[in-house]
Amino acid sequence: MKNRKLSLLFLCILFALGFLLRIYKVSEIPPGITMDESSIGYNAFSVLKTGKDEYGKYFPVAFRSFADFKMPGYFYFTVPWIAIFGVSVFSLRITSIIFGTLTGLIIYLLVLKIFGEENRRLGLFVLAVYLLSPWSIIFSRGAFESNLAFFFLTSAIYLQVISLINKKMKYLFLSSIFYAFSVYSYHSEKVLAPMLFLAIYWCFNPPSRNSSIGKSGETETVFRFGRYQTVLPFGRISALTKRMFKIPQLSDNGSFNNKSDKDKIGWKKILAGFTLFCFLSFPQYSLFRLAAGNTRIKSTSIIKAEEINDILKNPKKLYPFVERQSSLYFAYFSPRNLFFDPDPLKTRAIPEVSTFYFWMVVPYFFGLYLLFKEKKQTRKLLFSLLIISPVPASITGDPFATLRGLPLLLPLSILIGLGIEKIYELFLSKKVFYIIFISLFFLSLSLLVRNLFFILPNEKYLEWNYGYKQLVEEMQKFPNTKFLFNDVIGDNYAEILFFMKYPPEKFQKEQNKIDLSRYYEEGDWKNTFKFGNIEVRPILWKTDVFQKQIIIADPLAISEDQAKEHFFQKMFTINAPNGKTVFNGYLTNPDIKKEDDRLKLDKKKI
Amino acid sequence: MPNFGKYNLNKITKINNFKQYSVRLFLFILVVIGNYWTHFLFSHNLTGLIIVISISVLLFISDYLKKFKYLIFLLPLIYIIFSFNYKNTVFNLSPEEIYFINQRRAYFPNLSVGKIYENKLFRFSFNYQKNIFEGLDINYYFFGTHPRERVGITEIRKFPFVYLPFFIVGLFSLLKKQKFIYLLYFLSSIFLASFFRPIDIYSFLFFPFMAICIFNGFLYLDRKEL
Repeated sequence: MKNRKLSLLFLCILFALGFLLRIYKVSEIPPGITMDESSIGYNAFSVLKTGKDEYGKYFPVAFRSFADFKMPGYFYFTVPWIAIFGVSVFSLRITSIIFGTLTGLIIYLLVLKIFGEENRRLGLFVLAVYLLSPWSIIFSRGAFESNLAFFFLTSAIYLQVISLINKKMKYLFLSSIFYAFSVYSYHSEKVLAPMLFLAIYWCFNPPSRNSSIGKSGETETVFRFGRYQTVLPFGRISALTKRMFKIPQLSDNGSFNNKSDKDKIGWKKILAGFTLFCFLSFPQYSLFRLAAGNTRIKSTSIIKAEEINDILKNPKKLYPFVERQSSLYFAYFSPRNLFFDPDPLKTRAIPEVSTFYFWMVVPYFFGLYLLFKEKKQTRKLLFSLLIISPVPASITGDPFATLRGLPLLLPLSILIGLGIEKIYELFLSKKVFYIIFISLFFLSLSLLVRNLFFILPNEKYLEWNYGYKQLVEEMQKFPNTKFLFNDVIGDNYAEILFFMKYPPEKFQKEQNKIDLSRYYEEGDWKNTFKFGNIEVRPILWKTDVFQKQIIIADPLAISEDQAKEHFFQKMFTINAPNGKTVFNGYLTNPDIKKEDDRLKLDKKKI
Repeated sequence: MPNFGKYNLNKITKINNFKQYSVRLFLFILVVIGNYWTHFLFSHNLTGLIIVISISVLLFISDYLKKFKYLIFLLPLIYIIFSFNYKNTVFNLSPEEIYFINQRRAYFPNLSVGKIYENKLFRFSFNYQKNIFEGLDINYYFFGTHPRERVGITEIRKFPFVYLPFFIVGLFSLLKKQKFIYLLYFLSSIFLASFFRPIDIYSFLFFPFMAICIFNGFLYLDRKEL
C-alpha cells in the first residue's frame, strides 16, 4: 500500500472499530463479572481507600485473593479508574479495553519493523486479524490479567526487536522493563519472558555458517521472506562462540549500515539487559519458594513431582507421559481449536466462535507454509514466538487454555496476516480479492455480533455470574435483616463486596484474620465469610432454618419443595436475561418451623 | 493452479537399484500396516480397508499413472455412493437441533432478525464446518482427539504419535516438491466426507494421505532426499 494517507485512514477505521467492539455495552456484556474480576475490583478499591488489600497487606507484590495469589499488575492499573469512575464494572474492565486495543498498535508497528515500513498493507491485514479476533475481543471485554500481560510482552518484544535492529541500548533496557512488567501482570509470563528474551536475541544472532565471508571482512546474508528481502551484513568472526553473539546491522529502511563494534549490542549488553530484567522481576521469582509463588503452579500444572519420580523409576512410563504432553502442546496449533471449537471454559470464549473465524484457516495454512518454506531471520523470529508461546499453557491440565495461551495470538495473527497477503498476491484481479475479503470481514463481524451480543448473554449468564448486581440491590432493601448467602466454595463474597462497595477498612477488621507476616507463605483457604449483616457459607440445615434471616441460594440449592417444607417465604427472585431464575431470597420462619417440628415429634411419640 | 501433467517426478520414479526400491517398499508397508487405524479397519470395515489400501498404493505409484489417476478420486466417491444414508448427513437435523433453533430465535430483538441469524441453513453449515475441522485436527489422528475428546464418540488413536514429526516433515516436503495431487486428494475427500456425521463414518478415506505424508517423512531421513 503506497498511499500513506489511505493506509492511515484504514488504520484509524480499524482502531475505531476494534475499540468500539471492545467498549460497546461492556458493563452489560458479558453479563455479570467472574470471581476473579470481582476480587480484582474490590482489592483495587481497597488499595485506593486504605493502601492495603482485603486482608490488610500494604501494597502486596502478589494479591492473596482466593489464596491463589494473583499478579498485582491489573490490580494497580484498576485503582485510578476506580478513583475516576467509582466502583463499577466499567472501571474494572476499562484497563483491559485500552491495553487490548493498544496491543494492536504495537503489533502493527512490530510487523512494519520486521517486514519493512513499505509493507503497510500486510500490517493492516495483521491488525485487522488481531483487532477482530474473538480471542482478543473476549479478553479485552473482561478484567483479564493475561490481556494486560500480553500488551507488555508484545511491547517488550517490539522494543527488543528495535534495539537489535537499530542497535539502541535504551530500547533494550526499555524492553527489559516491559518484560518485567509482563511478569508482574500474569503467571504465564514468568516462564515466557526469559525464554522469549533469549530466543529473540538468538534469532538476530544466527551462526553465519551459510554466509560467505567477503574479502573486505564483511559478510552479506540475503534474507528473503516471500517478496520481502533485505541484506544483513556480518563482521568477520571466526569462532562459533563469537558468531553466536553477532548482531545484524540492519537500519530502519533495511539499507546497508556499517557501524563500528562499539555500536553493536553484543552479549555483554544483552547480559546487562537480562540482568536488569532479572533484577526488576526478582521479587516475583523469589516468591517461588513460598505459597505465593508455587500455589498457582501446583494447582494448575499437570506435571507433578511424583510423576517424574515414577518415570525415573520406571522408564516405560515416559512414553505415555511424552504422548500426553505432546497432545496438549499440539492442541494449540490444531485448526479445530483455533478456528472452530471455543475454549472449553465458558468465560473465556464467545459461543460458537473460536479464537479466530473459520475462514482464517486458509490463510493460516498459507502462513504456515510460508513460515516453513523460507529459511530466514523473520522465519526464525516467528517460529520462536510460535513454538515458545504455548509452552506455559501446555503444561497445565486444561485442554486448550486460551487465557494462558494468549501470547500465541501474536505469532498467529502475523501468520494469518501473512497468509492473507500471500492470497492477495495470488489473485490476478485485486478487485475480486477485496470484494471477497470485505465480504468475509463483514461475515465475521456479523458472526461476532450474533454470538457476543445475543447468544452469550442468554446462554452463558451462569458462567459469568449474572445476578449479583441485582441481588445486592434487593439486599439493600432490607438493611436490618441478617442474610445468609449459600456458597460451598466461598469465593462469591467478593462479588457481594464489590457491588455493595463495602467499606474496605471495615471488611479488613471484620473478616477472619491471617498472620500478615506470613501473608505470602500460607496458602490456606477458608470458605466462610462474615461481614456486616451478611454471612457467606454453605447452608447448615439443622440450625439455619431456626434463625430469623434471609437465605439466598440458587434453585438447585433450595428447591420449591424444600422452601415449603421449611416454611420459607420468598422475598425476591433474581432472573437471568432469558427469564430463568438465578437466585431466590427466602425469609426463614423459625417460630412456625419450631412448632411444626414439635408437632411432628409429638406425633412420633404417640 | 499447478499443472499436474508437468510437475517434477517424484523420486519414487527415479529408483535405479533394487536396494533402494526394497527400502522404499519396506517403509511404505511399514507405514500402511504399522498403525492402529489399519487394525481397526481390519476388524470393523474390511471393504473400507481394501479401498484405502488401494488408494494408498495408487498414490504411491501416482507418477506412473496416467488415466488411472482418476481412480484415486473415483474410488472414495463410488464407496460413498454405495454406502449412502441420508440419516447420517449434516442435512438431517435432529429434533433437539430444531428445538435449539426455535429457542435461540427468541434471543434476538424480533423474530425476523432471529430467522436471519438462526435457521436450518446456518445449522447445516455449522455441522459441516464441525466435520471439516475435526478432520483437520492433528490430535484426531495421533492422540485419539486427546485432550478434547468428543462426547458420545469412542475415540481411537489412528497412528502412533511418534509418527507425528514424520508426518509434518513429509507434508512440507510434499508441498515443497509441489506434489499437489496428495493435497488435492485429501481436500476432496475431506470436503466429501464432511457431509456425513460423525466425521468418523468416512474419515478412513483420509488414511492414504496421512500414510503418504508419513512415508515421505521417513524418506526425508535420507539426506539425499533433502
